[in-house]
Amino acid sequence: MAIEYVAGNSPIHRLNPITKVFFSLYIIFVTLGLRDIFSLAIVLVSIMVLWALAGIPRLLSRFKFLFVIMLASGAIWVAAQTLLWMFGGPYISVFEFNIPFWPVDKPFGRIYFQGLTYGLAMVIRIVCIFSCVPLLTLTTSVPQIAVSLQKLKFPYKFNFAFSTAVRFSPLIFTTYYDIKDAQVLRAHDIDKMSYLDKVRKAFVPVVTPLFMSLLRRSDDLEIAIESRAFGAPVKRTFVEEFRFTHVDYIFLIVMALFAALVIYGQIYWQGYFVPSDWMWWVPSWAKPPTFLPT
Amino acid sequence: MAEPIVTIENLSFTYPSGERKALDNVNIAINEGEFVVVMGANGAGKTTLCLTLNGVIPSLINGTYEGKIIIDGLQTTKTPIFNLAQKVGITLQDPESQLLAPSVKSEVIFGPENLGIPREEILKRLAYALKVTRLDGKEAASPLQLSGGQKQRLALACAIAMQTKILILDEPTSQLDPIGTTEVFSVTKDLNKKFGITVIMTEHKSEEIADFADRVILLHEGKVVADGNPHEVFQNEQLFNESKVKLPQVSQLFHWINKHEKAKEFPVTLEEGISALSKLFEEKKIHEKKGYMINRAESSHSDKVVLETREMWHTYPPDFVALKNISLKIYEGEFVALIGQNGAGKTTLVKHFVGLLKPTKGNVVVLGEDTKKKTAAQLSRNIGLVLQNPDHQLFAQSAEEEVAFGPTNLGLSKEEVDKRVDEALKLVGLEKMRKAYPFRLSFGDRRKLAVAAIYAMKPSVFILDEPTTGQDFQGRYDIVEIAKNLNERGNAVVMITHDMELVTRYSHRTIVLGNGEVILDGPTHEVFEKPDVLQTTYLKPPQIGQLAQALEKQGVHKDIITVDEFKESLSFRK
Repeated sequence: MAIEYVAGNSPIHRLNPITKVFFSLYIIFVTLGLRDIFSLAIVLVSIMVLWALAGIPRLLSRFKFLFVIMLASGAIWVAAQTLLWMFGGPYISVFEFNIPFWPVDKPFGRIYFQGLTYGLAMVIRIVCIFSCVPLLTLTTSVPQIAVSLQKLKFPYKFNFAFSTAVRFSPLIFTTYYDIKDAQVLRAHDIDKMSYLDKVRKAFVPVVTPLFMSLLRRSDDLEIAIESRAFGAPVKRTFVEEFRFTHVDYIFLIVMALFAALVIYGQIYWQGYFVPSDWMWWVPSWAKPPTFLPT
Repeated sequence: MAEPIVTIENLSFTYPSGERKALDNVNIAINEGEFVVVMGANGAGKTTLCLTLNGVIPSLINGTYEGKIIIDGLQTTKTPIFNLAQKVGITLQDPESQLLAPSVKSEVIFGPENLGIPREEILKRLAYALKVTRLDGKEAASPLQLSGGQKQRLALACAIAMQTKILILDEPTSQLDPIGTTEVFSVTKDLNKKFGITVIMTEHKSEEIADFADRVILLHEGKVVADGNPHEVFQNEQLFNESKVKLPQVSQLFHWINKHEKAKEFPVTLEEGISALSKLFEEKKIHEKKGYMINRAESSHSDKVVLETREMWHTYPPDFVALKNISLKIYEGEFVALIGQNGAGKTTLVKHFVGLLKPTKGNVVVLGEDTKKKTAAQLSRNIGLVLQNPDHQLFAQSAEEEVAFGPTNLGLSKEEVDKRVDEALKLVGLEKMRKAYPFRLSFGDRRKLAVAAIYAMKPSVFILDEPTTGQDFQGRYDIVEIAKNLNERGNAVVMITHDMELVTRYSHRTIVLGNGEVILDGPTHEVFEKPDVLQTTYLKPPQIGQLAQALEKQGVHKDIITVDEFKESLSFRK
């Protein structure tokens, strides 16, 4: 799977999972705060540096097609933003036309520079946020995540359900494919059916055995869990523990400095710092004045 | 004598849906350090016995429970499972579903963590448990990446980490290949002999059992019918036949010899068999028939090729070469066994035969048609594959509906489908069960139903992928007899199995796969004459073949591969 843990010993692997979760939240905060493409590009580049540190490009090389799709949809997004932008600033007139009764008194068919930068900023923002996902999932093993959840005071039963589900999902997939094969051998070929047939009759012969085999498995699992003292009325030990090491502290300090720089920069150039309109929950008297380019 | 560590007194248990008692007045006392093997056909009560020992019955599984079990001073019905878990560790038949953690390490520490044992102590236990099960260095691996044998050893390590004095292994090797079986047996033996752990194991493989069990208990329909050391218990041939449990081949031979010429000792292992038989030869009590030729029905296949692979390769992405340059021809009317360790490529190969996989290089031709040009569903009227697990295909409300599914998909008329359903159910002996709900059938019957479902498609080539997994001795013969029946009607049969005895009894030709290559291909007896080549893919000739090969100097034909052939070759002094 694309997001499954791959063992490694990079600084990113050694980070405390909580730091990594914190980092993802931090990136969301910062990228929503930043509006100009240059600062956003710096954020993106620094995430890419972390990618390189963790060895992710090598791991994801199999998924080149995903990047192509992302790139293409990003380009479409930028193009759409560019063409639909209608606010001030310099523009190139391409093919001007008016739509009758359109409430805005400006013609379509102009390429605004501001529209271009706005679209680019949006795309970089999304890419930044998505790039944090593999930084967490590819470098953190399931037991580590479970321990962090434990540290964050999630109940143990929830953690157990989480890690067992992760453990068994590949098994469910292989069972599903085995069953599908078994039915193909009886001339029941889901992949070759029409959509109507799929809906009408395709899944019963596949889903029934899958369901039965899962039920049987869960019986076995219950025996295995109980005979290993699950739920014993004692205080459970947690062998895996994660301390914040100096790598974590360095990371956190760099993050803090960067955040300070962003806020300072925003205030210096814009006169205020506003993460974005997503701060709807901030009371109106505390909200900075709304910013609309004119 | 010290107190027994396990005492079972007048134990009876009936499942809520059971028609008879699963366990019927069982009385057993087991001493610390014993290695006890419980034998019995499927349904004899072996698994039920295991689950009563660790308290899962009656805590998790309800039913009518009588009698009592005392484990190391604790009565199971009055002790919570988590306390019993520190006395009794258990491994289950399916290596897959008993492992629940994402890594080997977290798997092993799961139990001790639940008990709240101090961290340092758990780490010590982890190191110890992995060392004795020879899994050290694999802490970070995911249990899913392990081989079958390693998975079972991991399950053992989990039990050991609980520091139990008693280990229960419920058919630990029934789903493993020969190398996995050897691994699990040798680790278990170590745990018992070196570390003094009491072992209670249920198992079908009588030849291995004879090698290391101190004591054999035979169950039949919930009752203990024999209990003693292997030498005593294996002497009672009739009892084993009635209980449908197999004796070691050496013992089978000596039961026959003893009827003519009483040997002094009764051998149960290969070594004992070799020494006992060579003594008889030396004393001239027994000798090879002069000029004896093994009477082998030459394989009577026609010249028509039904299945052919031409310089076929298969590479799984990104670069795992699973099959290398396979060129085979299978003729109409042949019975072929396909053997080799897990991962050798057997299943990958048969999936090519039926078109589920297409070769990445070369061709597969079924009845003159290239599989690349057809889908697996289209090929299914010519070639049938019964997959390993019958539960992966049964879904219908009744047995007849199940069998009718395939032919109906082929678009046959109602009359034709009905005719085929009757015929198929009759072939496998389930005609009385036609209205039965498939999931309610026994495992053996479910497997027969799966065969019937493929038979109803009337393919001319039948492939059985490990029809013996999880089956007892009788179930194995039943299913292979069906295959033989089909073969006698002129169909080609290809069977994947790890059971060498079945191979020698049924197949004319044997193909050995190792690391994706055909390493041997020829008449079965010729293949088993090359133990050194077989060894490279961790296979051995059946015990009787090893006996014959060891006694070659005494004039025994070294190509003997079945007990019957051995019997025929011997004659007694007048």
